[in-house]
Parts: sequence; C-alpha cells; structure tokens
Amino acid sequence: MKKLNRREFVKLAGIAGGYVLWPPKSGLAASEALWSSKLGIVGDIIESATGFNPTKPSGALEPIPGVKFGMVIDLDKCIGCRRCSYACKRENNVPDTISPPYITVFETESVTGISGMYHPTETPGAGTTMMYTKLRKDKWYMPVQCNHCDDAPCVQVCPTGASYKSPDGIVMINYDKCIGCRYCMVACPYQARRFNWFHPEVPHKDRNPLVPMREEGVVEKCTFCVHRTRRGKTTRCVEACPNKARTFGNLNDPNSEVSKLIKSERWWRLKDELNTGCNIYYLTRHSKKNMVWYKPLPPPKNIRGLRS
Amino acid sequence: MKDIRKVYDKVLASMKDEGNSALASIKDAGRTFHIILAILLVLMAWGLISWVRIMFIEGVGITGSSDLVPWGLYIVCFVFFVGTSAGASLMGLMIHGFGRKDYEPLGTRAILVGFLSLLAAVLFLVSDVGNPIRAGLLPVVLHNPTSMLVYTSMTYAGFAALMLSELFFAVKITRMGGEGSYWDERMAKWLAIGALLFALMVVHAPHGALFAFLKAREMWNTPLLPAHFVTVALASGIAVMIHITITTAKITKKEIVSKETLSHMGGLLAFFLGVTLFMDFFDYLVMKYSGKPGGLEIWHFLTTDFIHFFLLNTLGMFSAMVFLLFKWGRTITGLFIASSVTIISILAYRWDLIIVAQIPPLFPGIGEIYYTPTVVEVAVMVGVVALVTFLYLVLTRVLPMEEPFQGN
Repeated sequence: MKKLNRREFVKLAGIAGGYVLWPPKSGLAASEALWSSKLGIVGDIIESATGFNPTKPSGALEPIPGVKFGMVIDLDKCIGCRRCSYACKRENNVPDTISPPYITVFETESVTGISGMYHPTETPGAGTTMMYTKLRKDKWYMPVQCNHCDDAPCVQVCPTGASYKSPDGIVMINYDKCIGCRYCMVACPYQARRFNWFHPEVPHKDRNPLVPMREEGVVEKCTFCVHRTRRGKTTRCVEACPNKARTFGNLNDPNSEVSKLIKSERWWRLKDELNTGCNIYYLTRHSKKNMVWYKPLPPPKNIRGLRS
Repeated sequence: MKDIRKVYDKVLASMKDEGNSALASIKDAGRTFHIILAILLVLMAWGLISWVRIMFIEGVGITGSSDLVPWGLYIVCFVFFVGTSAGASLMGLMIHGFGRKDYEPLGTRAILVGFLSLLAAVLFLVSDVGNPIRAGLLPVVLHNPTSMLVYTSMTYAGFAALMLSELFFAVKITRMGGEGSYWDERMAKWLAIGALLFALMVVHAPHGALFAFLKAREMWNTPLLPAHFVTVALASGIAVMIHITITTAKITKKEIVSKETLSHMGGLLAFFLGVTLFMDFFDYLVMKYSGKPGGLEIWHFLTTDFIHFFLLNTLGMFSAMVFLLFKWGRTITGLFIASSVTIISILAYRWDLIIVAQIPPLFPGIGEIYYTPTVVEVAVMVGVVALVTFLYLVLTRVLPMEEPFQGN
C-alpha cells in the first residue's frame, strides 16, 4: 500500500474536515454527530467560541427589530377539531414519540373549567378532557400551547441558557445547549414542553427542511413557527384553523389585528395570577356561533405517564 | 536532576508500599468481606449495563418518567443523598466545634459517608439528564445566572474539595497516633466547621430553593422548603451515621463509640426530627386551612393515592422522635430501630416531595397522571448505591480509622 506523504495527508484531512464542517449531503450525518448527538461536546465548544454550527438550518433567521409576536384565540370560534394540533405537528417535524403534540385541545363544560377548578370528590379534571372523540355544541373547546411568556419560568430556570426569550417575544430553545435536565418542564405552569424520550424519527420525505430535527435527550415546544413568522408569514396553526379562531401578529403595532382584538374585546390569559405575562390571549365573546363543524381528528395516543 | 530523580523514586516507592498494604488489608479481610464485595460488583455491573442501555442504546424513554412527571426516582435519590452528605458533616462539627472527643472515632467515617453520599447524588443527577456529556460544560461554558441549578451544580466541586481536604488531615492526624501538629489540628477544625456550614448554607438550603422557586408547583412553592431541607438533611445524616456505627460494631464485634455517645446522637436525631415535624405540621395546616385549589389537590393526593407514603413519612418520623425521647429508646436496639425508621420515613418524604408534587395535573382534564419506576431505573439506583457501599467498605479497610472506643 502506498504511503501518504505529508502534503497528501493534509489534503485528505482537509477534504474530510470540509465534509464534516460544510456538509452538502453526505457529510450531514457526520456533522450531526459532531454537533447534535450525545458526543456533541466538540460542536458545543466550537459553537460557544465561534457561533458556528453547520447543522442549523438556513431558516434560523434573526428576530425582526421592533416586533413582539402574540396570538389571540377566540374560543367562541374554536370547534375543537384539532386541525391546528396536527398541522403544527407536521410543520415542525414533531415525531410520533412526542405525545401529546405541542398543541393540546381541551373540551370543557365552561370556559373557566380549564383554569384550575378543584373537584375533591371527583376524578381530577372531571367535566374537562382532552380525549374527546365527538364534538358537542354545548361544550367549549380550548387549545393550549406554549404561551411565550414575557417572564417565562422556563427561561429563568434553564441552567444552560438553552431556553431564552428572543427580542421578538418568542421563547426559543437552542437544542445544542439543552442538557435535558427537564427543570424547565417542571417549571412551566402550562405543561407546554416535551422531552425527546427516544430518538425522534420523522421520514425524510415528510420533513420540513426549514425546521431542525431535534435529538434524543433534549426538550422542545411550540416556536410560534419561527421559520415562517420571521419571514413575514403567519403560524401554521393559524393557517390550519377552519373557523379563523386564531389570530397572530405584532403586539407592538397598534394597527395589527391582534392589538385591535385585545383592545376591543374582553380577553383573559391562562393562570394570569402567576404573573408570567402570557402572549397568548383568549377571547370568550358569547356571540352566536356561526361556523363550520368538522369531524375532529383523533385524540393523542400513547401519552407517557397518563393512565388510560 | 539527580535530586529530582531521587524524590521521584522515593514517592514511587512509598506509593507502591501504600498500594501493597492497601491490597494486603483487603486480602486479609476475610471471606465474608470478599463475598460482599463480589455481590456489590455484580450489582454495579447490572447498574452500569442498565445505564448504558438507557443512555446509548434504547433511550431515556425506557425509564418511568414522562412529560407529565419529568423527574422520577433519580431525583428522589439525588435529594436524599445530597441531604445525607450535608447531614454527615455534623459529626465533624461535634468533634471540632463542640470539642466532643467521644465523637472522634466517627470522624473519618463521617467524612467518607459525606463524600460518598455526594458522589452518589452527583451520579444520580448525571443519570437523570438527557445529555450527560454536555452537562459537563456546566457552569463554565454553559450557564444562566438566573438558574438555581447553575449555583447548586457549582457547589459540588467546592464541597467535595472541602471534604477531601478534611479527609487528608483526618488521615494524617490518625497516622500520627491521634495527635497532629498544631497546624494539622487547626486545619482539621476549621475545615470541619467550614464543611458543615458550606453543606447546609451553600449546598442544601439552595437545593430547597431550587424547588421552592417553582411557582407552577404548589407543593414546592413554599418559603419553608430551604429550611426544611436543612433539618431533614441533618436528620438523615445523623440517622445514617447511627445506622453505620451500630452495624459496623455488630460486624466487627467492637464498639466504635460509647453507648452514651450513641444516645447523644439519638437525642440530636430526635431534635431535628421534631423541628422537621413542626414545619411539616404548619405547612400542611396552612395548605388545608387556606383552601387554595392547588393546595387542596396536593392534600387530596397525599391522603388518597399516596397515603401509604404519607403515613410512612409522618408517622415514621413522629414515632422515631417519640421513641428517642425515652431512655429505653436510646439503647443500641432502640437506636437501630429508630434510625432505620427515620431513613425509611425520609425516603418516603423525598418520594412524596418529588413525585406527589408532579402528580396533580396542571390543567383539569389531562387525566390521571402516574409514575412508576422501571426495572432499568431501579437497576441504576441499585448500581449507584452498590458503588458507594463498595467504596465505603474498601476505603474504611484501606484508610487508617481513628481508635474505637476503649471503654471507661
């Protein structure tokens, strides 16, 4: 076998290194191993020193200056069809091992049923459920997801700074910094965070290339579809809602639809007494329902830690 | 150059001698000791294989934790051991701070218990995180100044360094026949006092705050928790030391400390149990009396699904305390029973504190949440406990221990 001279060796090492650091296709796996796997400590150190991480998708855009994103959900228009939840799952490459998905929809007897009524003699949560299979006009439906709090408990407690509040109001997670301690999960009052208990599998053909795949052992959640909203589009859940119950926009702009809604209507926020400063507002207008009723998509299956 | 070589040879020769004598002392320990070590090695291997399965082969999903109960058995054990490590440091304070010479035979043993409990706690924490290698970057590369977890993770190295320094001087003084030089004695004294203060104020109270800061969880969000952590830590540390002292005395057929000293330890245990129960009583009373939905829900779970743990915790602590208040409760058998009951009741308390706090759904309608540890999780727990027990047995054989109680 021919021995390599120094020049040839340097050349080969350069090509191999280039493949790892600049991965068009075939180098992707190696670079994922370097940055995102359990052995990703090398990538972490390089990134913390240089900010360079080739596994981040090109869709990781900078926040738009002067913008604060928020959402209004009109419960009078929500029929509980779960289309938002399913659309979000596909849009954000959420694997089946994550259950419930980022958006859970509750069926309640009254709109206050979700905000912590206590029934000591009944099963916890009696009268309220997320496992409904038929829609009823005498019930209320309420989607719950990350509220992108201004004073987010998850951001406060995250030891590595992986969870952070971006200037445009989105609570983000840097998956390459997450150590998987789950302190943020126990701190979140809205049970909005999900952990990758197993290696997440989403077939390549179904993946959204703008959203990075997470690794086993890190936490994830709703990102207000950062890959869309920072490009001037709206979130996928807003698009998917058949009755336009959701409105997304810039809370800093007094002329935006969200700002107008929260000025003109009586709104409330989940667990407001905790002073988390949610950026998702709920409306309960009690107007006559006039909407299209769809069959609901099935409830979440195989929820870890939940007795069936 | 020649001098350096000479010093190097001398150090090497002394290390060889130390190693040989350590090996010899283990070899001479007898068959039962070797069988126990072999069993512990098997349990350690079981734990290691299970940890590799969880971390590198099948995934963290084979544990019983879930998005609804993110913290499970490892965090229960973590809190128990970090408390025990803090509590064991009390022995050093008794010897050096209060001048109780009768506690001296427990000095090195207590340091070992403290250090190995801290090691167990850190191993449980490492076993729990999803990305343990990246967690090694805490707090130097990755850190968030508003997170209590950053500060608590910083304290382990400091506490371990304090205890190892304490161990160094304790061993040095023992080798000199129990009478060290003036500086050795001063260092041993201040390290012992410093270690206890550090353990309680810098290590354990902030661990209570780590939970107390979480306003999302009614059971943790109480300002009493840091103080409660300190008293429970002291109780668990003393209980473990009483248990180890009596067990060692039974096995070696030699009294380690006098009956009076053990009785004094029993009195201390009763005191810390009393303070803990006092805080518990008012915590639960306020929870029930104020009638806040979150508090009532916790009370509901404590007194229904988790009633066995709740009774084990409260009645266990109460009966151990009452038992220890009487003279007949502070006999060797009485102390053995009381310390065993205390350890079990503190484990039940830790289970209630970590698991029950996460059981009430944060929204009604989520359903019935549960947590059951899986076999692999239990295997890792057994492995970690076997590892620290193995190290304790070997180190107490290898290191010089203080002279046991000689009788009046």
